[in-house]
Amino acid sequence: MIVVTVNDRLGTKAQIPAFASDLVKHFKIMVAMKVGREPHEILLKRQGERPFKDQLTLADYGVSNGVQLDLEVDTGD
Amino acid sequence: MDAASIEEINKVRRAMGMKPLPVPGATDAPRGPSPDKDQDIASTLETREAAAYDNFRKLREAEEAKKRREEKAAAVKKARDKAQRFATLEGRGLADLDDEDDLDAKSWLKTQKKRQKKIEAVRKLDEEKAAADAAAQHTADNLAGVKVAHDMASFLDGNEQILTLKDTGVLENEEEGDELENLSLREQEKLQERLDLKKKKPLYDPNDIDETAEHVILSKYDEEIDGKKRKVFTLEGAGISTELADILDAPVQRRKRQAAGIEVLEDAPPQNPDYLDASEVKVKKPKKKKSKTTRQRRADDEDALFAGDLGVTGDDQEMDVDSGAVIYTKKKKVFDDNLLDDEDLQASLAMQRKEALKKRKKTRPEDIARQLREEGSQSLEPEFLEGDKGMVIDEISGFVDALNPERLEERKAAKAKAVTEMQDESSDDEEMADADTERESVDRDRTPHADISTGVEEEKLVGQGMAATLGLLKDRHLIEDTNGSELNEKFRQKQKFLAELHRRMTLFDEEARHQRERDRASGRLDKLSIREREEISRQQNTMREQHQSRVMDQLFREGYRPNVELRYVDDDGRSLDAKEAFKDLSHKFHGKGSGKGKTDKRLKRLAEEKRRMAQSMLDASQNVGMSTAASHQGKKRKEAGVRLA
Repeated sequence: MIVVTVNDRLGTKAQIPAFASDLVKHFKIMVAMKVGREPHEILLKRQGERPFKDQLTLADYGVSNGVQLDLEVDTGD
Repeated sequence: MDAASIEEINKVRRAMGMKPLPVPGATDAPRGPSPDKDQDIASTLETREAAAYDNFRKLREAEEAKKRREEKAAAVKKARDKAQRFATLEGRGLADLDDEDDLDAKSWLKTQKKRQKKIEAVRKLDEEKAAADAAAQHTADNLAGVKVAHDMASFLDGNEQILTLKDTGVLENEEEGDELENLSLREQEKLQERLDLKKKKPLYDPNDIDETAEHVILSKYDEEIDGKKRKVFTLEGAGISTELADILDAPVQRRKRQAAGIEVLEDAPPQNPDYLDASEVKVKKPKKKKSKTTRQRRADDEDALFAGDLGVTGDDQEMDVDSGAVIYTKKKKVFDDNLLDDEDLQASLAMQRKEALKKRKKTRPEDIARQLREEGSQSLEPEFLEGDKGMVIDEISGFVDALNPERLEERKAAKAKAVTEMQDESSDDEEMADADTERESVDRDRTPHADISTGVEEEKLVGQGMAATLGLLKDRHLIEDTNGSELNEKFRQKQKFLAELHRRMTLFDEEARHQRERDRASGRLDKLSIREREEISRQQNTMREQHQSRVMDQLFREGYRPNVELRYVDDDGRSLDAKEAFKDLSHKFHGKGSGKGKTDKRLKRLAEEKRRMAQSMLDASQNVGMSTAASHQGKKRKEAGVRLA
């Protein structure tokens, strides 16, 4: 089990437990539950990198315990 | 992370069908690894590392199994070998007794006949084989009747030639039989043919007259109509029988059949030739004082060069006194040489040739071929064959004969004139004067230049008139020879058209005036008011103009041929051709000319052109045109002089 920190740099910061083998899609639901925003409005990315895709796992992006991800609003494009 | 929040999350996870997170308080370790294993077995580094050990073990097992199998196979083989080694040999050995050999004498004699027959058959077979081998060997006899697709003359060089069967289809020319040819010779022939085609011979060559051949009308088209005449001869057993006509390019007088062997293609013993060998000839170096002997040479040379020489011939006695007896003897010698006139030479040559022919009565074809070839090369000599000494007169010799007497007379007259001029007052050659009075009177009013051409045209001068100027410019290639007749024709057409136009215009004017006058005279208009009169005249004008324009249109359509000519002139006033003009316009358009190098080159070329225009072709003082080589030679030899031709 890993604990991932999600931070939107605007004052919202949440720590979410997950498996590295979880899909980004499912992880987003966990994040949605924590930050109170719709899952399809959530966009996760490492700092300065491209946004995560839903169908890949966290392990594919090299997300391990204690990693911080940036949280942005997904506008759908 | 506290257990409560994880529990909460696990609830959601379960709702989504995902595996719950491990809660730190509860111990559900056995549930952890099992689903992890079957979900994604090789996705993480740890699982892969775990798998590596299994793989290694499997590999080791496989290797061991292989080793065991090989050991087993080796043991099996060893056992089989051992069994074979000790197996007993079967069949009859060398030492074993033969059942047939222990026959008695009687039965052996009985089979003797059969054995004899077998030996006989073997011998016969051998003989047949030997005979077949012998038959396979080729001799000269095998070549009898085979054609060789070459001119026999091409084999006279004495080099060894290798002939091969010509490359044709098997059934293509079955009735004609096989043909031999030499590939390199064939190549040479083809090349020769191509070169001949390139030479662009004139269709009718007046010098190429063959007295011996039967005259065929338009023989030059024979090749196109009948196809190409191939040069072929046939081998025959020990000798060759050939059509000798093939040896020469031109047809020979008689087509003789002669037999000759292949083996005699070596050089024939040398006959006494018509001409000296080049090695035997010794050329005497001409002495410096040769100029004194010009008189005799002029007598038989056709071109008397200098008008002034007439004087020399006239007073050569005085000259001889000056130079002494040496020159006299030399002159005699020259005269003797000239006794060998053409006819004498021909007669002696003919004698020689006749002798040679007699000797060669039983000659071989290649000798005849050689001889014929020689004669072919001395093309214009009259031939003396079959012993009759008569001179054969062909068209050319007839023409030349017709020319000669006139020239001779002329020369005589000139000489006589010179003599009489020399000795005007003396009366002792009166009969000479009588004989030539008419001619002399003609000669008198000619200038001395007119009789005897110097071989050099005088340079034309601009002062002599338009034609001379034109000639001068043409000689120097300063103006191109345009197609004058065409231009003239165009110009005439244009003038004609203009004249016609002018004529019609005047005609129209005339007509209009007449009509107006008629109207005025008739008094028809007097009754009408001014306005009506104007109306009528306007109508008439428009009608007239219509008619006029129709006629003009017709005229233009028929006769008007505009001549469009684009002329480009550069800044210096030189007219440019299309390429130069394009360059010039392009430079002007882009506002950018050629670089320095190109400009320099062009200026240099222009200057050169200007210089060339200005200088005289025959001026020996400059190294120009024809006089360069001559002047170089003169300088080399340290001779002074002006070249005239």
